[in-house]
Amino acid sequence: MSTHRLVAEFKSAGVTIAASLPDQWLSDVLASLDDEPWIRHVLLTREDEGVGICIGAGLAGQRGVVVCQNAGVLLSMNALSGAAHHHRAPLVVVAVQRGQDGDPYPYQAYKGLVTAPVLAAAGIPTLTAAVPDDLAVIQEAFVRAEAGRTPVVVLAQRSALATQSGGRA
Amino acid sequence: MRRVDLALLAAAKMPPDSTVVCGLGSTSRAWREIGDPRPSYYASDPMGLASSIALGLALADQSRPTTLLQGDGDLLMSLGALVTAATEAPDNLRTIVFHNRIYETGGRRPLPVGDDFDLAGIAGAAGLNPVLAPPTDAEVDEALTVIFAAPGPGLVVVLVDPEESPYGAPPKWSQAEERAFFLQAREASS
Repeated sequence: MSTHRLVAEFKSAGVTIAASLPDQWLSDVLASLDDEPWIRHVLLTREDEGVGICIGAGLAGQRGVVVCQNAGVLLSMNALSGAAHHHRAPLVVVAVQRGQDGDPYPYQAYKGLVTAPVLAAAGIPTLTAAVPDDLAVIQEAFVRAEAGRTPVVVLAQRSALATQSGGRA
Repeated sequence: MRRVDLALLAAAKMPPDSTVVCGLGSTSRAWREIGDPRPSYYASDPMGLASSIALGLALADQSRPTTLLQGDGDLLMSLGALVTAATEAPDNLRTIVFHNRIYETGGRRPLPVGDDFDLAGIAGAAGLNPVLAPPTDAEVDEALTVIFAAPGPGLVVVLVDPEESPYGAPPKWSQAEERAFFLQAREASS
């Protein structure tokens, strides 16, 4: 089975640990992470655990990434703010933007509205991906994270993660 | 058992090449007080994150042991992390829980638990192995020997006395500086 474009970007960036909590829009990404022997795919019970795991991986000189829904970013704001302003620890979060991109579910709407403003208020750098080619921003995300000693959050639209083959490039 | 005595015993029992991750509050105060030379990351805030930081470190560098020292309130804030650690099962990760049943640094208020609260039972049910809870001070030494001899992820719950823990002066170093010190110490010891 082919590697999802996002996971291929992780490989190019030298990521060794991906910690995730599922969302339906992430299914192809997570299945691809399961398939790849070069990356450790850690299944989380809460997304802020993933922030801690990435901080710890960074202490060993490894690159970690959290993959989650934008609700996971909101849940993790204490951990992300602590990583940004207290630990000064680099890591990358890729969060799919529910509540946008034609998402018809009322219970997702607030997440699409508030996630980016909350991150901005916390002073956490944010990058965006709207189409699959935008996922190359993962490389820039790690550069900015490590240069600035901060988490960087990539907010990915559904359209960035989906391809004609159902999400896999 | 006093918390500083548990810190001393832990230092005597853990492998010489172990890296230490230390949760916040009086547990970190005890570990700092004994001045152990091993690379030690004081995870500080946010509360509840130390167990995940230790797991990430253990997974990312399986060539050396990682020991997590954590207070019971800190652990209670992230019980899901026990499940994740059990599933990932790094054999180089051990946890020592300082169990005093109070938020010692946070005003000495009690944990929201009853008399029959069984932290070791929770950890064992989550899948950590081995899990030990020595009932007396005399049995702590043997429990630590067992936990460090066995492959991880093991956990020991040790009853420590509630003590006075006045809020200390602000620390000399910021967490970012502590992180840099840790990275330097770890590099020097590898």
